[in-house]
Amino acid sequence: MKEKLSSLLDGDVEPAQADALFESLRRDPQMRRQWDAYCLIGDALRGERDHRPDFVAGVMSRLDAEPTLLAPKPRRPRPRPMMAIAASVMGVVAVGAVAYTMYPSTPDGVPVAGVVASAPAETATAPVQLATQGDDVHRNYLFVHQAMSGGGPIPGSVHYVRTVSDTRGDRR
Amino acid sequence: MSDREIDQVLVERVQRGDKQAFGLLVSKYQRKLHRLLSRLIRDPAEVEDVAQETFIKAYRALGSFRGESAFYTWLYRIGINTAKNFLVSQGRRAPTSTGFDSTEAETFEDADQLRDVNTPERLLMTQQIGETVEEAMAALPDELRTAIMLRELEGLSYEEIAGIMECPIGTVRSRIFRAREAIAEKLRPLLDTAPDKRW
Repeated sequence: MKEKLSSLLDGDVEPAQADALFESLRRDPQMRRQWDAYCLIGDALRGERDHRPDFVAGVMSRLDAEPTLLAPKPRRPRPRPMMAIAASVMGVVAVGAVAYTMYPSTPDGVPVAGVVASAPAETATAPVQLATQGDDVHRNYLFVHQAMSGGGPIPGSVHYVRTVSDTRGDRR
Repeated sequence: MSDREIDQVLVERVQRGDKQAFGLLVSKYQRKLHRLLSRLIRDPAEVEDVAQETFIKAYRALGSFRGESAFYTWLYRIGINTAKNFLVSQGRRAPTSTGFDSTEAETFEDADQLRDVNTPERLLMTQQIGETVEEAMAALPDELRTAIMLRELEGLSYEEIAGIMECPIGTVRSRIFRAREAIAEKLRPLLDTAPDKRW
């Protein structure tokens, strides 16, 4: 315990360990005398050798007449990396869910928006795979709806998607 | 943790109602504060009174201390103001603000500039403590003496001392502790205080 006290005086402890040692110091007068001695040794080596054996006791005696401090614990901003990661994941999931809802996959499992946006050059070689006759009514409805809503989950992409999809429909 | 962080932990304990934690701060800074005040006030008894008043004022104000500055800088500022107010109340002239401030207090190290504020008994005690510490230091093995000097006089961290002494940090920790214990053992007869004077 004395070695830990020596380390504590030099700041060579973790915060949790420091708190535990200070708790021991609060309870143990012998440890406090050890603390006094170590403080005196450091000061004496630096040329401050004046020793007032009852000075601390005098201050503590006067403190007995003082009300105990109960100040609110200061709130320190602490980094929360897990919160940032969780927020990012939730954001991606939310955007993905909205995108999935607005752009459902075709019956053969190929998402229309994804294929069209990622590979416009391929539309010339295999346009038939991307839509069926039965989709036309829904596509027209979707175009009108998007024009009214003016956005979608990925702003800026809607016009591009609509134009390419429409072009594919004409070719087919 | 740095020295300042250790002080901050103590401050927060006091703020949560642990009065003994304040005693540890008093124990740590009493001599530095006395030296500072003895530059402003001639009478040793008055220095002691003002030092005690400084700590009491610091305790009362500690609830609003948020650690923007180091605890000892804050304490010294209170000490200087308390000393100035004391001198004014005594009808004596306080030093000008440019003559002494808390910045100077932080770098206040030159013992040769100090006036002698000791009573004969205190002078004897001071002399005995000085001699005992010097003798104990001289009797230490080289590696213990070097370790504690690098720590206490140069203010180096354990990591820095380990680099200089080319040994593990655990060895530095052990050497400094053993050096302190050896010196404390020699000092113990001088430091033994009456039970009613303990805290």
